Amino acid sequence: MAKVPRNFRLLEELEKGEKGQGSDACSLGLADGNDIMMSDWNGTILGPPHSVHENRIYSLKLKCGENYPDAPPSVQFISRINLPCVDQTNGFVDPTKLSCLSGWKREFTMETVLLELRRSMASPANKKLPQPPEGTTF
Amino acid sequence: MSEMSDDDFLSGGSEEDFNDESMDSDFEEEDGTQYLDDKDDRPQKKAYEVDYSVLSEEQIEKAQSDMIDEVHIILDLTPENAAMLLRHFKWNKERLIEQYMDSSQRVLEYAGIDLSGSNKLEVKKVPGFMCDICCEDDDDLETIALRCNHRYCTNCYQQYLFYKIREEGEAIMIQCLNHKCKVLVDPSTIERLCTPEILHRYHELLNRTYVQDKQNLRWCPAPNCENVIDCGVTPNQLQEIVPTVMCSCGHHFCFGCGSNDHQPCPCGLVRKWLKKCEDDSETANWISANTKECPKCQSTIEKNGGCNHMTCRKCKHEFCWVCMGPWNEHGTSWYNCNRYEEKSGVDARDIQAKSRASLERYLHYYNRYANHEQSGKLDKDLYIKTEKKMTMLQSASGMSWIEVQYLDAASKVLQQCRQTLKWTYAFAFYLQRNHLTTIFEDNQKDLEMAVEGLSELFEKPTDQLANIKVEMMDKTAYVSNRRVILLDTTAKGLQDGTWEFTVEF
Amino acid sequence: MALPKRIIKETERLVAEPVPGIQAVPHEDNLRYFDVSIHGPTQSPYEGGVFKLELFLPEDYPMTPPKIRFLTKIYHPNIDRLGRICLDVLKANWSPALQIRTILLSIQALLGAPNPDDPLANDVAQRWKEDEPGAIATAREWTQTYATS
Repeated sequence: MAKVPRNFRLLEELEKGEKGQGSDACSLGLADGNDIMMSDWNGTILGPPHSVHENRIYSLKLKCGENYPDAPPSVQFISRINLPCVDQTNGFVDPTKLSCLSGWKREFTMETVLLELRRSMASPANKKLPQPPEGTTF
Repeated sequence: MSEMSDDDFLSGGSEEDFNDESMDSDFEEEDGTQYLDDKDDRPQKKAYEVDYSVLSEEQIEKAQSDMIDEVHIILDLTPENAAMLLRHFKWNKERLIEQYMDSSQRVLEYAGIDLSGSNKLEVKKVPGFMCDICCEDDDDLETIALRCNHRYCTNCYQQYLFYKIREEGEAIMIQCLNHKCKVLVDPSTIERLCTPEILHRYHELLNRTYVQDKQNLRWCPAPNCENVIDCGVTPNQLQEIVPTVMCSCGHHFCFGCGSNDHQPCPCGLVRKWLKKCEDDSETANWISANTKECPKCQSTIEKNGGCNHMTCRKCKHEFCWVCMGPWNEHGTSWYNCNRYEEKSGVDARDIQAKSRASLERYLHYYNRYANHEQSGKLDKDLYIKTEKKMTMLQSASGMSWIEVQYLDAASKVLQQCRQTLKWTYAFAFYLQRNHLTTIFEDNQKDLEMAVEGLSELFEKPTDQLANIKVEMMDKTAYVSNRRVILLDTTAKGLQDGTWEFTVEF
Repeated sequence: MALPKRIIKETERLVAEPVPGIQAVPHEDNLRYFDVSIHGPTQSPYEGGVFKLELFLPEDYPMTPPKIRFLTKIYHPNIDRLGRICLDVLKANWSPALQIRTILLSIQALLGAPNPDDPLANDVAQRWKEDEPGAIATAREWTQTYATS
């Protein structure tokens, strides 16, 4: 298969969101519409139903380095959240504690990461974790 | 109890056993469309009914080949070229013939058809040839060229057709691979080069384009339904009529816009209304909430059926879910839950009050619109339960399958009327207030009361259902009849242009 | 998978018979990915500038068009802030008979003849229609600022 270079891959991810073909449970957009390198992204995750996160909307920052998608993006929560994989001092997602980041594959996208975070929020172990007040940020 | 086994027992041959017409005869005028096949026996057409027919995919294909046959004889062309020309002229036969008679050369060129040269596609091996697309140059390479003689390898042509048909959904305007050449790839070449799977898609696309090109045709929008409705109502008539059709698959929809049945509200108002609801959804959200408090004892009440006549479990207070007023007021002649009392001239100078009043007015109509939508959904849930009830009733009372069908009929009528009622509120929202509006609201009120009465019967415990069979059948017939009256008078008004609206549409 | 013959031939020809004012060099580690530079056409606001682009030949090339975008900032009604280009031959009018060479020439021609009636960058197109001299001056400034080394 042809290997899609970083920038064209990021354009694909951007356009998927622009055309509304992405998941309803999360969204993605460029942090700066003028950033020709498309490094910084804003993401949101809609809290999964039947969990403490229901009806909450979580904001995140994602950063795609030069080696993306050979290397995973770095992911940081802006909204405060209590999850085992999230550093409670700064909101960064620990890549060793989220399987799609620790076992990153080139086919994965930023959406893969957001959806896995959402699954983790809904998992039996995490769905009842006490949460900081809604609207607070790291 | 073992409901499953009852279901299993039922699911057998129920559909074949049940003869539609014998049951529906009680509600003859509820849905005139089913009598389309035997127009002669049919009572006079109601003002809200339109003539239409349901066509199958085969009939669509036949209609195309009939027209192709006609044109190929008149213009002395091969059927294939006639087909290509017709498609190019969007099946406007008259225009094609006229222009072809005028200048056949120009028409052929315009449509990308080249009559010169051999019309037999030949697969050739040409020594020393290199395909410009893939750059392969084996002496064994199989190549083809259309009549324009632009030669490429067969493999590239196949891939090209695959892309055009599968990925781009193109069937009619597939041109020669040379980007400057306007010659179309003819259908026989496509038939020859494509796999059966791609060809299937190709024929689907041809049919789809045919239906899109013909103003009198529209696909039935129901999922997995492949029928087409043929109806003569044109877009510029949509202010005067709401062309509602029923496909043979059972789906009711509007021929004008393709949405679900929205009688009596014309397409233009439907669009405006939905846009408004979308814009105002934030305000409207709180209304559609599913729980309210009893106006008397304040205990929380959840609505779980379609009926709006609520009785508080705790204090037995009876009230109307929509306006929260006491229910006994609704049963009398001064029932006024459907009518928005225009507060004439109140604080008219105060802009804020004005905008508040306009929001209040909108909410009045939206509230009722959304409520019937919600009730329709709940009625549908009840319908599913009804099926179970019917089964239970059968075994409990020893009634036969046919004998319990009154529940099914009642449930269908109920849902249809909820659908109609829902749209009466969008319609009323845009009406100027005058004496016609009052008559409309009276009809709306009558239908609404009848619907609530029928809806209420469904909430009876199963063991009582057998006893109210006659009552239920009577009410079903009455409700149907109220719907016909409402639709008929509204449709007449649209045709005669007697309604005055607050907006242009 | 080996690189298709078509891509090899096109690459060879781009090197052997370069188009004046246009360069396209494949990456060593990805022969479908090209660094491109285009010289702004003379007598256009882009004159004197050298614009960097990137081009990628997807798996289905040449059945599907190449993907291409500007990396150098440019003020043009048919090119957006991320360098994406609105050009018919890159979309609906693509034909497998077109080549990298022809596409790059079309892009160069687009620089010489902006089309504000088919805009991708709405704000730029608007200005182009309402105040063409002003828009051209901005295009020239941007060329000086971003496209000259």
